[in-house]
Amino acid sequence: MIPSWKSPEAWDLMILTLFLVARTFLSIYMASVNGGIVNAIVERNLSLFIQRVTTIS
Amino acid sequence: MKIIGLGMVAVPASFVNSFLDFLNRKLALRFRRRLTDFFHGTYLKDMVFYQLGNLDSRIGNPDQRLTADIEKWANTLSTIYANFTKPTLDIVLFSKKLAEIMGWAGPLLVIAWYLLSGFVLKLVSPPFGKLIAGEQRLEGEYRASQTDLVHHAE
Repeated sequence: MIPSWKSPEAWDLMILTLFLVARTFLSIYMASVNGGIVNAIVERNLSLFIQRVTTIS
Repeated sequence: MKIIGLGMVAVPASFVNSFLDFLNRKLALRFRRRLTDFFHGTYLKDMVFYQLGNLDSRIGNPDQRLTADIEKWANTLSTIYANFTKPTLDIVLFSKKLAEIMGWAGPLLVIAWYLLSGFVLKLVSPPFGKLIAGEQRLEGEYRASQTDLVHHAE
């Protein structure tokens, strides 16, 4: 009844873990891009804002 | 225009989100199948279902337990993994990122605040576990009464 280490459940769990980690890194990347843009907005720096929206570092 | 770059990140991001949902449900379904197989194996062997229903009163409403409760349990077990590991990893990685920018004092303060508010919430919230157990028991009894009614409707 309890799934073994080679069962399909274990595979699913492994893929799930991989994708959870991937999502975390994606959200960190998104957060840093957003942070740069919001930073330019708060500083009311139009040229910096346009630069940060149009270029991805 | 490199804004297309952000759009190209958004596409795999939305895919990852939906795929996570898909994997969760798939895992829940596998768990449910395994449990249902196992429990029905014992339930249908050697007239156990008869003993359970008519001779033994230790396990009430076996039908509810075998159908709805197993499904709920499998769903909860599959989501508990994602709901526990992802925030933990998030906390570690985001704290590291924040610490690079503003030092360790900020993230530590945030974590301390969350621990404190979680503790206060724990103190003031009602016993959800007991309430949900009671709810499930009542659901089972309600269902069993409905079935009885149909059986005696001749």
